[in-house]
Amino acid sequence: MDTKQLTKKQKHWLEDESGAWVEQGIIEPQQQARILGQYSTSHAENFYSSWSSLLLISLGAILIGGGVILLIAHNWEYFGKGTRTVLSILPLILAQALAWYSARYKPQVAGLREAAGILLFFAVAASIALISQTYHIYGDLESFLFTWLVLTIPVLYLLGSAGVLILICGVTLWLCGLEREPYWLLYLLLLPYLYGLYQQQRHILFQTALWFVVIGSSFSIIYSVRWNSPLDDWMVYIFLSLSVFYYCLGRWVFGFKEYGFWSNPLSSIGALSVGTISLALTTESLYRYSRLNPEVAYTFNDYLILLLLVISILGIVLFVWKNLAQMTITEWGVLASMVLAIWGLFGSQINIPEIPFIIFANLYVLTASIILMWQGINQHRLMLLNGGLLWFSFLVLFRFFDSDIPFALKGVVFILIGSAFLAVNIWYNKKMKQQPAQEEVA
Amino acid sequence: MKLKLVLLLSLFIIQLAVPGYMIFEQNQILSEGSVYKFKTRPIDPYDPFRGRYVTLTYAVNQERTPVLEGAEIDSEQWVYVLLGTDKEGYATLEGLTDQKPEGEQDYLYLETYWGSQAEGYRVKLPFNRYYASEKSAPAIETAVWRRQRENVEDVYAVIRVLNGKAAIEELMVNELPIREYLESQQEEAN
Repeated sequence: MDTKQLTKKQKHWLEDESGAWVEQGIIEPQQQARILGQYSTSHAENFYSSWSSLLLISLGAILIGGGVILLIAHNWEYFGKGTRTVLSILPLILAQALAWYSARYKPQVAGLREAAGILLFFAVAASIALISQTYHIYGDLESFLFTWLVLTIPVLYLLGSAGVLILICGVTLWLCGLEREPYWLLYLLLLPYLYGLYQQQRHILFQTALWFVVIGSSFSIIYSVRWNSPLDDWMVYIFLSLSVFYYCLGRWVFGFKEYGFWSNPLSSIGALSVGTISLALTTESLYRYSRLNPEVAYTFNDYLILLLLVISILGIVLFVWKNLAQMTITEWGVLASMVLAIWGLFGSQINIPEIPFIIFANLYVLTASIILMWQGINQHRLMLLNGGLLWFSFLVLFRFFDSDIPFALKGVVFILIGSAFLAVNIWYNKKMKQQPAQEEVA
Repeated sequence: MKLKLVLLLSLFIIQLAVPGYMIFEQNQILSEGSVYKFKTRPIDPYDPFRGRYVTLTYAVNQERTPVLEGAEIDSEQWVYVLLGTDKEGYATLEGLTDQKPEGEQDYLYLETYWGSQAEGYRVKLPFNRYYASEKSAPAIETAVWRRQRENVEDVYAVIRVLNGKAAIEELMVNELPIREYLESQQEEAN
């Protein structure tokens, strides 16, 4: 049977606790051994113990590679075309040799694998760039970045270097900022890698990688729709729908009991986006300009984004249908923002005025933030409580900045909100301390 | 494991094949392509990957190129432009078409920029970068611009054209390759 992964700290805690249970006679020593046998720290250990050295090795690899290229480039003009061509290919061959050595002879050494992967990632770019320079080859940044990605995404699978995943996310994001093309589809190529990590229960690496992929793909999707797209003004609602979908997906993948902010990137990013977008929708003027632009032609990317909207809506419906019994008021709070998305998408097309929309958006943030605070208190989750308070405070601040209220009064509101934060946290901590004492008395 | 290593080796080959093909293609154009002289002016910018280069803006591209009869062309469309030479021996853009030319006449495959079907289009001449070192690039710009202000001279790029593709062979000032020209300038200054 597969063992579950824990960090060293978590394993220590479990050992201490289970030791105490044995002493108290709650469990037998054999049972303790069996429980501890269920958990291993190998992947997590590997990840942590090598993380700092990996970072240093990777940095070293980048610096050495960059330095060699700069040294060559310094005397570049004095070399003939033939020498320059050979020198251009050289970094690629050296990086490939290192990658081969790592994959063939030292597949277990994470540091070498990371260094080889990162070096190979940059060497591909360096070779193409140096050849372009030698022959004065024209070619835009877009095709350069695309070629670079196509040639290096397989490195992720064949070497299994996590550093390459982060670099791929970064370069794809850059590429998406250049043109109205659906380059964000490249993130789909990373899904099998993520699934592999999930299956191997390499939780920490999986969660870290997922953070990069979700943030990278989100920004890439937004970037790919430019001002001259017919969907430009719809994008805020499409992304709101997508954020709710991310949130649901996170609940699905990681379960309803997974509360950690960092351990559930999908739900965390989804909830943060819903909070931010719904706040933006409480202000004037966004809804007013929510019409599709009929004068601009649709590109392939625009159709794909519309498809993404449909998928996100269907996904949310499916999530509700399958998980209705488990859903709490917190999930419903996030899901309710879909009303804003649908209203925004179609409301202005059928001429529903702006005021009801803005009133609804304000009421939504007000109600949802209060529910969040209440849930935070009930479930003893300080982060949820503070999140709700922050959301609520921003709503109050936004409304105050909208209106013609004197500066002195605005100052008082700031002080009140600040005090509220302090008071709630102090009160909460006191309550938490009192609770165990009461339980002991009982 | 074995499959992974075979795939890795295949990836290495593909990674090497891309710059390899770039070299092959450029060498083929440079050795077999027809020679054209494009009058130009260089400006010195910077590319984050490929370093210093001079942007070449071409005189021939100051005017719109007419659309040939029977062709239907839009902005930002990939088209064929037929090449010719004027009486001084410089390259001219004779017309745009959406059909691949079949005759002997040389052509370039490139993208239109803006314009109209009736009045023709400006095109994006792709061979617009001449890479040089961080020292030479600004020197090229200064030397050429000063020279053009003082006495109008020949500054042109020698372009080789083959099957719609082009490669820069050399940047020339007054019949001298740019590097030799810069050296001669330096000698004069000393």
